[in-house]
Amino acid sequence: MAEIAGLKLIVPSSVSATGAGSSATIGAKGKITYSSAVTLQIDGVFSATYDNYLMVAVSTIGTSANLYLRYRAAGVTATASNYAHQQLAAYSTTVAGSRSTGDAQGLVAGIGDGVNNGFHAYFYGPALSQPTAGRGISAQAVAAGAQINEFAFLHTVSSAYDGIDLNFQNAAAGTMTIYGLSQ
Amino acid sequence: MAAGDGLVSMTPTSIAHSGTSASINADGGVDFSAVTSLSLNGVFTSDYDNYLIVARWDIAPLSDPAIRFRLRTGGSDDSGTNYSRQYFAVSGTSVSAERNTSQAQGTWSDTSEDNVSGSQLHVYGPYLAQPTAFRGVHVSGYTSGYFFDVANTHSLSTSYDSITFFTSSSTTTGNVHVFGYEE
Repeated sequence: MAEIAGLKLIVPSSVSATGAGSSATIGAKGKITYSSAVTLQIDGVFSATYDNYLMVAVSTIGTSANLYLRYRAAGVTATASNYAHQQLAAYSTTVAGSRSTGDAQGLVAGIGDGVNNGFHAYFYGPALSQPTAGRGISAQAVAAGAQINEFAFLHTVSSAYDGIDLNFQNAAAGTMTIYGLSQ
Repeated sequence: MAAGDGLVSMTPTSIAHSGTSASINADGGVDFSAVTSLSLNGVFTSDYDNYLIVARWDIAPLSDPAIRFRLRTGGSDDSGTNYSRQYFAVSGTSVSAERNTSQAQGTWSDTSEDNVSGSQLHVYGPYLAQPTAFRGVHVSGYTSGYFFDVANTHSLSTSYDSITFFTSSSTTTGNVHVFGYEE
């Protein structure tokens, strides 16, 4: 058995942010650092080299919000109502689920109003010309303590995408890395 | 788009344990036998924001064979009541959840089952001088499946380079390995 690196850190082609006073940069190895970002556009990150991807982020936000996503191709965001998600939330003694379909964006994580939030998300086949599945898992800090949010998100269009648009809904700051899973 | 290695093995600079034995293996993981606590020193650094810890536990079948943790710096565990947790557990047709705040430790796994267990703990920003988030995914049960998902937060804006795992009363045998996410 030969050993190769199974997880490969990707350097996106570009990143941009929206929001008052926002900034977003890409480090030499691929780390994305953002500040005051309501949305992030990350391009040139999905390719034919890998089928599946992992995103890992530590983030802070002023007011609790869900993190939405849309896929992008050649700098154009897919905004049509082709997204769906299933959510599982655990808070206090409650475990609740909800599903939404025909949405204009997917839902990938919950980010609390504390400063200690983290999430990771898997993207299955975004650069393949087939529908894309994803799975988001977050550790969320809310005023009452810790909270769990998990999401399965789907995009039903059989197109290849090379980028992603993330919508924090409120100004967020943090770092993010995206990896391809060797195949 | 370029790509680099994604997961980096974080070999502890030293370890400490209570119980029978513990040793650092050649790959950077730590093997342990019949321990009640295990400190992994120097596994969080300024090189990486986020970490993945993977463990296999064989827990002695006592009444509360849970795995807890505390962040650690300068050779001292933070045992202040600075931890919060939210978990949900699924066993058979039963789903339960609970939130606890102002705890003196975090929770990685918490199960009434014994024998072989496996866990992942995602650690978001422990070395950053800001609060830290954790997300644990745990499976246990020798003859039946059981899973336990947990989010933890730690509220101090302190940089930690180490972590201690400990049980409430049982001893545990297995392996634990800390990885940094390349960035």
